[in-house]
Amino acid sequence: MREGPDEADELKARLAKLRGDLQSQRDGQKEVQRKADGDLTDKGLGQAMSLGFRVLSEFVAATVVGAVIGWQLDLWIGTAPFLLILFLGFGVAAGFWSVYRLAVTPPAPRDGQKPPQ
Amino acid sequence: MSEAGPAIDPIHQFHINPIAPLHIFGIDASFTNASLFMVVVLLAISFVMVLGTSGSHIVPNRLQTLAEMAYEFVASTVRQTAGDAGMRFFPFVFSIFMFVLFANMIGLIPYTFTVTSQIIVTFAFAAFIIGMVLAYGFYKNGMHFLNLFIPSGVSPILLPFIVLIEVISFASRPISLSVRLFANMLAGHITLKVFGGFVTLLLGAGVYSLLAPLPLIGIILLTAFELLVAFLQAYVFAILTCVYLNDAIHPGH
Amino acid sequence: MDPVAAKYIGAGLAAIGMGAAAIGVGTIFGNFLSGALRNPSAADGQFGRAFIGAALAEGLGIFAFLVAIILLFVK
Repeated sequence: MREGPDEADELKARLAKLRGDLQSQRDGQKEVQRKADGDLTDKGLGQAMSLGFRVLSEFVAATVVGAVIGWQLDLWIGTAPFLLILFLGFGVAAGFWSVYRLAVTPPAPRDGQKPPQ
Repeated sequence: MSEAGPAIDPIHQFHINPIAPLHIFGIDASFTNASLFMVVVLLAISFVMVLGTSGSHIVPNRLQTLAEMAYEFVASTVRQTAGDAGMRFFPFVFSIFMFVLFANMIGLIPYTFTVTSQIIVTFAFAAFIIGMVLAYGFYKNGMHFLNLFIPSGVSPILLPFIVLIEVISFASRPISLSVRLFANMLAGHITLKVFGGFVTLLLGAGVYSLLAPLPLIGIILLTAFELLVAFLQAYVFAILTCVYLNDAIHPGH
Repeated sequence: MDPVAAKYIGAGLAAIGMGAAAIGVGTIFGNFLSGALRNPSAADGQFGRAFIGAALAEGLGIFAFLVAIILLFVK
């Protein structure tokens, strides 16, 4: 069994540590609350917009490339619009495929940001 | 000031004027205003980087902080997306990022020419990047580079279609890379010019000239937005370069 | 009907597709906002997905715009 003053000191140390932990936890929660309150002007909005631009251009480019390939093959072989329509469909499918890959595995977050849970 | 064009002409800013005509074997290789601004961009980057790293103080001054931040930013991006094997491409990605960023930003100064608002410039970048991806992919992996187009865990019935779709999606990369940057820069500058035309029109319309400050405020806000877009587009360009190079270094999903 | 006039009318009709794209984008962000008002702390994590959906809807509007441009400027 320990002596009285040591026990009191140990309790005081634990209280101080607990107070410090609670304070840092409260600060962290304040930070999360500030972010959730719609502070969209920092990196969050920029990253979302860059993701959106990327999705838009990849989808449109895939469809256009599919259509152009179909159109050129049509001119080359001579089957009037069928290859164009077929490759347009493939282009749209390719666009959706790349969008799916972008949405399911989101791009790596920049330094200092938590990855989305 | 020659022909009577429309009063608000937002396209005139994209006109390429030769400054020093030069024809080599029938190809027009004149030194144009586009070339002049590319030289300006290069000088700006060299100024920042050379002067920024010449001091080498332990507590850096502002220019050195700028240079070090740019280096750290691109280095962490390359390392995160392409791993440590991708660091051999770091000078390439850094040059592209700095050139696109400075070209976008310098284009926001009035009376300058935005180099990246020409589709041929952005397409040259994108074609070179994809060409390098293909060349390095085949050089490092041989024919295993084509594993990029065959995702794992696909039933053999669907395989031909999936491969065709993957090929189309790969072929769309240079298009999307170049058109994204080009369209953003073009649209931003055209919008700025159109708002500028509104200010002039309102000023010449008698009583409505009281409304003239409104498009001016619009231009100020748009310029702020264009600064964000300039940085964002440079960042997206660099990060996509890293992702495509990662596909060349580690093909196959 | 004069073919040039028909082209211009067709281009005008194709541009109506941009209105449909605006409805699509507004629907996505409206749903995002109503979900975010119910669960604000989870909103930031899904903000990127809202932009992905909006970009897809906007892409189809861009195709309508492309059709209009092709009708106007391609002989």
